[in-house]
Amino acid sequence: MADLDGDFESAESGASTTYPQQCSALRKNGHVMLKNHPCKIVEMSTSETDKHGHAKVHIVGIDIFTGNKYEDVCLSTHNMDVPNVNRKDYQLNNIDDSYMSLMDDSGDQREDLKVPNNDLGKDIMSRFEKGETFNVTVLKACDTEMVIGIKSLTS
Amino acid sequence: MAGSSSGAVQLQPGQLDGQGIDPNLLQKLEQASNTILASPSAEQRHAAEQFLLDFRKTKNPYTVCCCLMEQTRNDYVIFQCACTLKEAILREWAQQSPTNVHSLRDFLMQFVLNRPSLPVYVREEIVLTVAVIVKRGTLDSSADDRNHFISQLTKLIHSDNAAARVVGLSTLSALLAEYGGNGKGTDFGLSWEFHLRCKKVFEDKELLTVFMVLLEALQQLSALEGVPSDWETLALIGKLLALAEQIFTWRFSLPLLQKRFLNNMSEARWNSPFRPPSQWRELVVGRGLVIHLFKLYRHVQSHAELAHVCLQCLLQLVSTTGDVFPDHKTHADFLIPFMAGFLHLTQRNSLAEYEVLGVATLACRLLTVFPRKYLGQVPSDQLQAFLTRACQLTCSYSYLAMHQKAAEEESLYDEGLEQLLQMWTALWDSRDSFPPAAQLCQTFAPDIFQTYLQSHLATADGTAAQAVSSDDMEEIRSEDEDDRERYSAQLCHVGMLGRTVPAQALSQLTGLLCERISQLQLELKDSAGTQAQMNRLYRLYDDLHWLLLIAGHLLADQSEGEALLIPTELMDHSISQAQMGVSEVGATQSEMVCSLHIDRMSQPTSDKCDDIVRLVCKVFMLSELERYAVQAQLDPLLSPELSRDIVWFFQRWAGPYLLMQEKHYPQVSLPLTCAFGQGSDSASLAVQTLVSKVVSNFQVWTSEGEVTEDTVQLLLTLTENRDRCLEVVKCEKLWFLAMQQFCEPFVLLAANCRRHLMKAVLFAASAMSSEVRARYWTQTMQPLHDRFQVMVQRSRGSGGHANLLEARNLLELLCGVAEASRVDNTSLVFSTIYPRLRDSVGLMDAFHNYPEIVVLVLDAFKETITRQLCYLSQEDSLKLYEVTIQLIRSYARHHGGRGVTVDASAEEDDFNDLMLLLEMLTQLINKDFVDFGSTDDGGAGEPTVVPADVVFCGLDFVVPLMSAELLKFPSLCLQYYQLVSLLCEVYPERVPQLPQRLFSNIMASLQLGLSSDYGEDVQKLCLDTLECLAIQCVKFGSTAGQSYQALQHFVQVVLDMLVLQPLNPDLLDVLGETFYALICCHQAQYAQLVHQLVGSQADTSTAERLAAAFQRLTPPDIPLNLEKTHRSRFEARLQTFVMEVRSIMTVR
Repeated sequence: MADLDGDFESAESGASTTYPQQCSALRKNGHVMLKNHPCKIVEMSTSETDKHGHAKVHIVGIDIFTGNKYEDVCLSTHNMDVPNVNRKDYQLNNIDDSYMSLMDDSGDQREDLKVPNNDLGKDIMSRFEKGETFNVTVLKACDTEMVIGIKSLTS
Repeated sequence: MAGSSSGAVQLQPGQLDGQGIDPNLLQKLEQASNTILASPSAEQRHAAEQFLLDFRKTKNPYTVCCCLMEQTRNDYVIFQCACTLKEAILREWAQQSPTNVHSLRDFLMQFVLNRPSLPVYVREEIVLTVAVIVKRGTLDSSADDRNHFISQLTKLIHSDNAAARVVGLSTLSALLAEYGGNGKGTDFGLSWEFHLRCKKVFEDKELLTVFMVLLEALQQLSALEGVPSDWETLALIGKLLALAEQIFTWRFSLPLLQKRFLNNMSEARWNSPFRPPSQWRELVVGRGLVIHLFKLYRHVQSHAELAHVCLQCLLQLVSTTGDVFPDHKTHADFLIPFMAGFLHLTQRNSLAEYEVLGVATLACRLLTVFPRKYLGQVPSDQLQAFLTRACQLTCSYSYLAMHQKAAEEESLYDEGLEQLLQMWTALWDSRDSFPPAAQLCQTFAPDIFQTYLQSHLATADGTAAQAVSSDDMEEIRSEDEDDRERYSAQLCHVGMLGRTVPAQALSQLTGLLCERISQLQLELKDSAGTQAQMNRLYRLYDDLHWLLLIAGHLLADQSEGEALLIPTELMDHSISQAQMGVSEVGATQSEMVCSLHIDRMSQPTSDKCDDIVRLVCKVFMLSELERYAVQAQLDPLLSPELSRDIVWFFQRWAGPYLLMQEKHYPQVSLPLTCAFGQGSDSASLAVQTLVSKVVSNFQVWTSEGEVTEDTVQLLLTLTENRDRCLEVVKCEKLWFLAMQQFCEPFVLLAANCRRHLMKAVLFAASAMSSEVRARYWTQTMQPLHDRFQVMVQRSRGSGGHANLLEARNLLELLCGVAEASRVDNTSLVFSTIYPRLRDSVGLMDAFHNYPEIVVLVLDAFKETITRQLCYLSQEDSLKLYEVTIQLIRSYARHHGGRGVTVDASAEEDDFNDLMLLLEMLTQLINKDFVDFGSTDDGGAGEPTVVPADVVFCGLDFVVPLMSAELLKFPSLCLQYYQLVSLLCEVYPERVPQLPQRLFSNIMASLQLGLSSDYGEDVQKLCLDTLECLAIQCVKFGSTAGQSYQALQHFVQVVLDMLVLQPLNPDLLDVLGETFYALICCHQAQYAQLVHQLVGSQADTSTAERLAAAFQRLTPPDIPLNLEKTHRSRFEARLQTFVMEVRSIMTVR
C-alpha cells in the first residue's frame, strides 16, 4: 500500500511478488506463503496452547498451482508473506502444440502458456476443437502463471 | 412342552415335499456354513452365500429343516434352518393347517429347551421364529391358544432350571419385540392394519400377563440372599431387565390421537413416557415394583452392563404418567419408594463411572417429571434426606468434574452435574406450587455454590488442580470451545442458585475477587517475569476467569429480543438491604466512584455499600488495573483470556443495570439507581471508563481476535441503547475512535470487528443533536467517501494489488455501515451508502476475478436491502432497485454462461456469492410484503421499476445455475427454495407468465426438491409453492398455459407422497392443503389417477376398500372448490383417509 499514489501498472511490474501482512488479518479463502509456496488458505484456527497465553494462528493452505497442502503456526501479531495474486482474462485464439495463443483486452498477444495437464485442460482442448470462442482466466503469483478457468462469451 | 417330551415332533409323511430331499443336503449345508465362518475368498463366499440363500427359499421346508436341525451338530446350519422356517411360514401361512403350525412351534420350543448349550444367536433366532409364528396366528386363532402358550412360558420362567427360565424370558422378549412393532419387528409382508390389530389384541390381553410374570420373577430374584455370581443367574437377570425395559418403553395404542398413530408407523423417534392404562395401577404402584427393582440393582451394581440396563429401567419407570395416577396419593405412593430407593442406592461412598450419569438423571427426573405440587405428599424428613443426598452428590460431582479433567470421563461428571443443577433450578422454580421449595433450596444452595466456586479456584481457598507447570499448560485447552460456551448451562444454573441466597453468594464472590485483585496488583508491581511468577500469574488469571464468569451469570441473564431485567431475587435483596439500613446511598455512590479512579482504589471500602454495587466495583477495579498495567507496558504478562472475561462481564452487566429503566420494575432499590441509574454521575463515569477500555483493548489486543470481538460487542451494547448512547457520545474517546478507524492500529483489527466497530460508530450518531451529528458525520464518513473515490478512480478497468487490499478494507466498512441501518437513521445511512453502492458496482467489474471482493460487494447490497429497503421512500427505493439491477447485470456478465462446476472438494463457502445473491433477491421480495416507506411524492405516478423487476432479472440468471449438485449444499438449497416459494406467494400472477425455459427450470427444481432428501423444510416450501400456483389456476379458471400444464404432473407426485411413500407426519397438513388445491385444479386427472390406483390392486377386497376410501375423501356430491369450509372439511377427511389407505397399502 506504500505506492498508493504511484502509477499502478508500472508499480506492479516492478513490485515484489509478495507483501507482508499481520497474521491476524489473514482470512480463510485468502492467500499466504506457506513454506515458500503460494497457497490459498483453506483452514484457519486460533490455537491457544495455554489458556491465558497469547493467540497463535494455525493455517492450512493449498498450493494454488500444485494443490499440495502446507501448514504453519504463527503468533497472531507476527507478519506473514502474502503473494500478490493476479487474475487476468484472455481470449483464446489458437492452440499450437499445446501452447495457447492468448489475447488480452487491449489486444496484446502472448503464446507462452501451455494448456494445463488436467480436467480443465481437456475441457479447453475439447471446446477449442469444437470451435467455441471463449476466454480463459490466467492466475499469476510468484512469477508462475497458470490457466485456472474458462468463461464463455455467450452473455 | 405341549406334552411332547420326547424331542422331535412326529411329522406326517404326507408333509414331505414331493420332490424329495437331496441326501447330501446336510453335508452341503455344513460345508457352506463352514466356508462362510472361515475367511473365504470373495468367490467362495459368494458361492456359499448363494447356496444358503437358495436354501432359504425352499418350498415347504418344514420336515427337512426339522430333520436337519436334529441331525446336525453345526450351529450355523441350525441357525439357517430357523431362518428358513421363519420365512417359509410367513410365505406359506395360508396353506398350513393349525395343527402343523402348532407342532412346528412346539418342536422349536422343545428343541431350544433340550439344548441349553446353543449359542445365543441360534437360540434367539429360534425363539424369534416361534414369536413370529405366534404373532402371525393372532387374528386366526382363539385367545385360549395364545393364553395357553403364554402360560407355558410362565411355567418355564417359574421352573428351577435356569436355562429353561432364560428360554422363557427370551421368548417373551421376542414376542414383545414383534408385537410392539415400531418398525423394528420382522418383515411380515402384511399391511399395517394387521400389525396394529395384532398389537392391540396383545396389549389388551397378554401384555398384562407378561408384566405379572416379570413382576413375580423380579420379586424372586431381588429376594436372593447375597450377590449372585454364577453366570446363569446373571444371564437370567440380564434377560429379565431387558424384558422390563421393553415393557416400560411400550407405546400403548391411543386410537384417538391420529398423528400419533402415523408416528407409530415410522421408526420410534424418541422414548415416550411409560403410560400404562388404569388397569395396571395395582401392579405398577401397589406391588413394590420400584422396591424390587432397586433391590435388584443392589445385586447387579458391580456389573457395568446389568447396572446400566437396570438404571435405564428405573429412569424410564420414573417417567410413568397417565391414568395409573388418579390422585395425589397414588403419585406420592409411587414417588416415596423411589426416593427411598434412591437414598439407598447412593449411600455408598463412591459411584462407579457407569452410574454417574444415570444416578444424576434419576435425581433430576424425580423432581422434574412429577408435578411438584405433590411433593407436599412426601414425608418431609424423607424429602429432606433426599435433598441432602442430592446436595452431597452435586458437591462431589462439581469437585470431580474439575479434577477428572485429564481422564476420559470428564464430560461424564459435567453432564451429571448439569442434571443435578437442573434439579435444583426446577425445585426453586416450583416455589409457587410448593412453597417449602424456596426454603429447602436456600438451605442447600450455599453449600453447592461454595463448592462450585472452590472447585474452580486454584489458589489457597480453592481445590482446583495445583500443578500448572509449563508442560502441563499445553494440555489445558485443546478444545475449540471456550469455557463460556462449554459450561454455559452449568454456569446459568449456578448463577441462579447463587441468587437464591444473594447475601452469601455476593459477599463470597466479592471477597474472593478482592483478594485476587490485590494479589495481582502485587505481582504486577514486582514484574520479574520469571517462570515461577508466570505460573503464579496463570493461576491467578484462571481464578479471576472463573470468578468473573460466575459473577456475570449471577448478576444477569442473557436473552434475545426481550428487555434485559435485573433478576427479581437480586433487586429484592438490594431493596431489603437498603430498608434495613445495611446499605446506604452515600456509601454506595462513593464506593462506585472510587472504583473508577485507580488512585483512589486503595481507599478503605465502606461496609455500608450495596452488595451488588460492591461486586461490580471490584470488576471495575480489576479492569482499571489491567488498563494501567497495559500503559506500563506489562502486556506480555497479561492474559488475553482475562481481558475477554472483563469486557464480557461488563457487557452482560450493562444490559440490565447500566442506566437502568426504573419503569420496568414495580419497586427499585435506591442504592442501585443512585449508582447505576439514569442521571447518576457514577453511571456516566462508568460509561466513559468503559469506552476508554474499549479503545485501549483495540490498541493493545489488536491481533487477539477473540478479545477484540468481545470488546466490540461491549461497544455495541453501549451504543444500541439510546440512554447509554447519549452518554457514550459525550466521550472524547468515541470521537477519537470514530475518526481513527481508518488508521493503524484500528485497520489491523479483524474484518468482523471492523465491521461491528463501524456499526457502533454509526449507532452513536443517532443519539447526537443534528448539529453535532453533522460535524461527526463529516469527520467519520468523509474519509470513507474520499477513499472510495480514490480507489474507484484508480481501479477503473482492472484490478491490482494495493487496490485489492484497500477495496477489501473499504467494502468491509461499507458492510458495517449497511448493518447499522435502523428505522431511526434510514435516510442518513442511505444517503451515505447509496453513492458507495454505485461505486461498488464498478469495483465488482474491476475485481470480478477476485471472489473475496465479489462476495463483499454482494454482502453490502444484501445488508442494505435487508435492513433498509422496507423503510425507504419510493424515490429512494427506486434508486436502490436500479443500482441492484446494474449489479446483477455486472455479476451475470462475468459469471454467467459458464454454469457452475462443482468440484468434489468444493465447500459451501465457495458459493457464498450465490448464497448472498439468493438472500438478496429474497429480501427484495419482502418489500412487497412489508413496506413502511413513504409514498407521498404524489405526482410521481406509477413507479418505473418495482421489486419484482429486479427479482425476475436476477432469477433469469440464477435459476439456470442451480444444478442438482449445487442444491446438495443444505443452506444454499434452503435459500433457493425459500426464494422460489416466496416468489410464487407474492407474485402468483407473474410467475406463470415467465419465459418458458425459466418456468420449466423452476418446475423441475420443485420436482427435485420433493423427490430428493433435502429435508422436511425444503419439501414444505415446494408444496407451498405448488399450492400457490394451483390456487392461482383455479381462481382464474385456467385450463391451459404452462402453469396449468405443469401442475398436472404433480397431482400424482403428491398423491404418491400421501399414500405410498414413507410419510413424515409433520408434512401431513401441508400435503393435504397442496393436494386439495391440485385436485381442484385438475379434477379429471385426479379421477383418472384414482381409477388407475384402484384398478392396479390385485386383491378385489382391497380394491373395493380403496375405492370406498376415495369416495369418502371426495364424495361426488361435494364440489371441489376453494371455499374455506370445503377446504377445511377436506383436511379433516384426509387424516382419516390417509390412516385408512395406509393401513391397507403399507406392507411390512
